[in-house]
Amino acid sequence: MSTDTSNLFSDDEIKYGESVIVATRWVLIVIGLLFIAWNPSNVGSLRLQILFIFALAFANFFLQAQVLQKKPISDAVILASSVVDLVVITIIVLAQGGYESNAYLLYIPAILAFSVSFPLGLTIVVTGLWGLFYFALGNAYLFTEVPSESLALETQVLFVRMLVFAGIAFIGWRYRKVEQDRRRNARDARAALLGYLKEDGSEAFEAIDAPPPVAVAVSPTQQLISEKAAAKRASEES
Amino acid sequence: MGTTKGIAQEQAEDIFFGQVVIIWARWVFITSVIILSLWASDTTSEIFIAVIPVALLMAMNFYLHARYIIEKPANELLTQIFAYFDLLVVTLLIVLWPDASGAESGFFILYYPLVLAVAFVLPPRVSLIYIVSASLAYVVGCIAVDASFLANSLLLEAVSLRTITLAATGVLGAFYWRVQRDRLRSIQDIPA
Repeated sequence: MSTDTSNLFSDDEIKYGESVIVATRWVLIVIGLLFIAWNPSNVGSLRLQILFIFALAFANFFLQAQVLQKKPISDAVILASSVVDLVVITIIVLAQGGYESNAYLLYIPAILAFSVSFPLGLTIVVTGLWGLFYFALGNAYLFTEVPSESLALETQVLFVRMLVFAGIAFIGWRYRKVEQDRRRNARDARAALLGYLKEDGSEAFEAIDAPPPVAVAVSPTQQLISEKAAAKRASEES
Repeated sequence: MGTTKGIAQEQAEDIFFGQVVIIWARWVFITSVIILSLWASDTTSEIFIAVIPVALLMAMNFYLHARYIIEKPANELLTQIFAYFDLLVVTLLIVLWPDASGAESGFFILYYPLVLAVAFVLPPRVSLIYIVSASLAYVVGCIAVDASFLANSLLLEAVSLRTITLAATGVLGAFYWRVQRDRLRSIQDIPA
């Protein structure tokens, strides 16, 4: 009995989501480099951020190669790489000024890739944990850095950010569900149609299942040419 | 060998089945606007002024959601009209919000779920126009409030990066649309 541990999840969406995850990571890498280049922090922090981005790029190139060659990638590897994305983005956010940094926008594509590829429960757990962290970061900023006259506005902004992030995860999952239902209906319809064709004795259906013919039909002209060639060979041999 | 559906029929089915995603994205947006409007209003008259556009949005979305439930969803034209109306409302929110507007507004993030939902449902030739429109609406809105942000490197960086990530989110949505479309076509191809 084979012990295939490459599939952590029974849902096969992750297999089709691999290309989306890889594409999302390329987007995060390019935009991440833009963030870093446009607003560089101190040298030590900058080195660390660039190192992480480049490590992400190499890892993503490996995954891209696997996808291009249509080789299966272990679910555990895909999950680990997606979690690493969130970690790297968090490092960039913290290095770029924490809550005040615009780097938090990188979370949006990462959440999107998660929600369309992984099961709903896992998406809720991972994005929920990250959401709690970012909410805590936001509150720490609000109550230590923001003057009292701006507190209401900044609280509104934090609230809207959290709602949008949850909304992105929900929209990704909802669209995935719509497409899953459409594919299931399409498969059922196809199975019903093929069943009907089989019962009907349709020639088209028989042609699909029938073995290839042994002799290939030839035109009368071809047959005449073949006969003349055969006669000529026979006369030459005699 | 195989009879595949026409492109027009595929697009009609995309709108028919996928419209609920746009509707839910609009509910996320409406919820945000309701809470912001009630939170930011200090007097009863301000509350009533804020509630009017919100009520309009809610009525519009209730109508669309009800049509979807009874399996008579809106067609592509109506879907696009309401989607562009959403962009207009978000842009007005960014331009007119009293405490922080234009490049300093934090509410640009409300564009993201709307752009993503449209990218999931409409074909790329339509959704890419919407993505560009959203990006332009945001930049034009910022310029309309105060064009001096163009000379402020920090604000210019912020606006540029927001626009880039908005466009990237929409493009990723369109890419995922393509992945799902190919999967559905592979199932629906049947022998002639």
